[in-house]
Amino acid sequence: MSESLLEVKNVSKRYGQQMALDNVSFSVAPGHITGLLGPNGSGKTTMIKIIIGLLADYTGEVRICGHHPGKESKKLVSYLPDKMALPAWLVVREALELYTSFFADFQPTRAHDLLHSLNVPQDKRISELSKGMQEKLMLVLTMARRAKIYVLDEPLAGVDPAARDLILSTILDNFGEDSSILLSTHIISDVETIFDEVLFLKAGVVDLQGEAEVLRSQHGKSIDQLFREVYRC
Amino acid sequence: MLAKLIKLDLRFAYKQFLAMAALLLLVGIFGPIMNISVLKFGLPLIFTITFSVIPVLSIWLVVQHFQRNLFGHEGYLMFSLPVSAGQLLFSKIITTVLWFNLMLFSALALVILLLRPEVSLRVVMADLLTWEAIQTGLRVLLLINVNVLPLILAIFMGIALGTVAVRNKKLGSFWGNVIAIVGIALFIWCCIKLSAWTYLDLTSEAQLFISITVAASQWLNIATSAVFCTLFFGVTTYIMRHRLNLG
Repeated sequence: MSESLLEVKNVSKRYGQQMALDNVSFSVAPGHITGLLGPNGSGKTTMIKIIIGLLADYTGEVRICGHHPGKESKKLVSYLPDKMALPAWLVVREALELYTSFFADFQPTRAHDLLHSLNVPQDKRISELSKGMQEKLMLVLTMARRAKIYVLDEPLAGVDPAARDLILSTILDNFGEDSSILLSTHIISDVETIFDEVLFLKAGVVDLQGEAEVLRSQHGKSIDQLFREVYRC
Repeated sequence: MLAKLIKLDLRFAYKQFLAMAALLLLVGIFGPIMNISVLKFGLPLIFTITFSVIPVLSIWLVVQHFQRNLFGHEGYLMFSLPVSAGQLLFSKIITTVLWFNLMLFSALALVILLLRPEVSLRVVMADLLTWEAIQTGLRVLLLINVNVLPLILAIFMGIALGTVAVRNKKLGSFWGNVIAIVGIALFIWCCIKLSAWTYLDLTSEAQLFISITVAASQWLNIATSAVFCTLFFGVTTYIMRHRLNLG
């Protein structure tokens, strides 16, 4: 537990009367890829926002390499939001400059190579890129950092099935052994093989959690099948 | 990091403000040619339009930028940068002051340029570039800034307070605006009261010391502004640190 890069202890979050997260606890060890799984509205994005520091009003404790979410933790966490956070008028090249100036661990050469391999034009404004291209750009900016933890919120949501393999290989090829990934998704089948650990969230409560391989052998089912069983309406 | 943030903030909004400044200068340059002159409309009208509409418009632009940049989609980027909430807000204040003063100077240039048919530009510049005029101008500029800054910070505070409400964003926004207006009203009331207090004993004897009274009034104005700025800044950064609720 003490070696964990990310520790979440008894985190709860309310939106008015509605409980968005209820006593959620988990940790992410170095070199591990953790899947934060659940249908829409299960609390995945709320959990991620708390880790990043976009939601400050919660109870419980979050530690990122020993730091509470804040200025220091943001140096260690590379975040891929589920929406386009960059201004539309920004040219792709300028977005790279922005990341270079703010994040000491950002590697512009790596970013250029990734943009090239994903066919994202660098001389266009973000508004001129398709939605898929914009998502690829955000992914490149996130993965071109040498961060301790990568927090990816629905990286596959708006991507067509053909591009998913490319996105996944980009993620897997660009994180180091001493880093970790926390990936939230509700599209399990394409990604389940990459998870070391999974956490099923259901209406803000952890419904199932453990090592992916152990869960598969315990239940005799794939993570995708388990997901469908847990969230069956 | 603050310098980088200021640079980023300037880049975020420079097109709108430079376009507005350029538009004002163009109106000033081509106005007299198109029969728009101070003589035709009257100096008070030109002054009122220039020094009320333009500052209000520039404050509106600054507020729009603040809302979008921190509490809209761009907030996902801004709040994931390794900077403190205080730095984020301080950078916004510095750029706001820069843009506001650019607009003020553009408005002044507009009036001077529109005066061309009546008064020679050379005469106006000769009058404006005296040491006394520069001193007075700087004092007026300082007082305008001192009085505008708490108003902008109150609006920023109102926007930040409005985001605390998670269930009903519109209601939150309404109460945020109400608190901002109350804050502004309180600031103006304090300024008027304190200003009146300095003139209370303005008898014929005291009029000898009128310059001292004016100076005291101005210093009180600056002190009041500093107190309100600190209060509004403190509340806004508190919300950004402890009650942030990015939707």
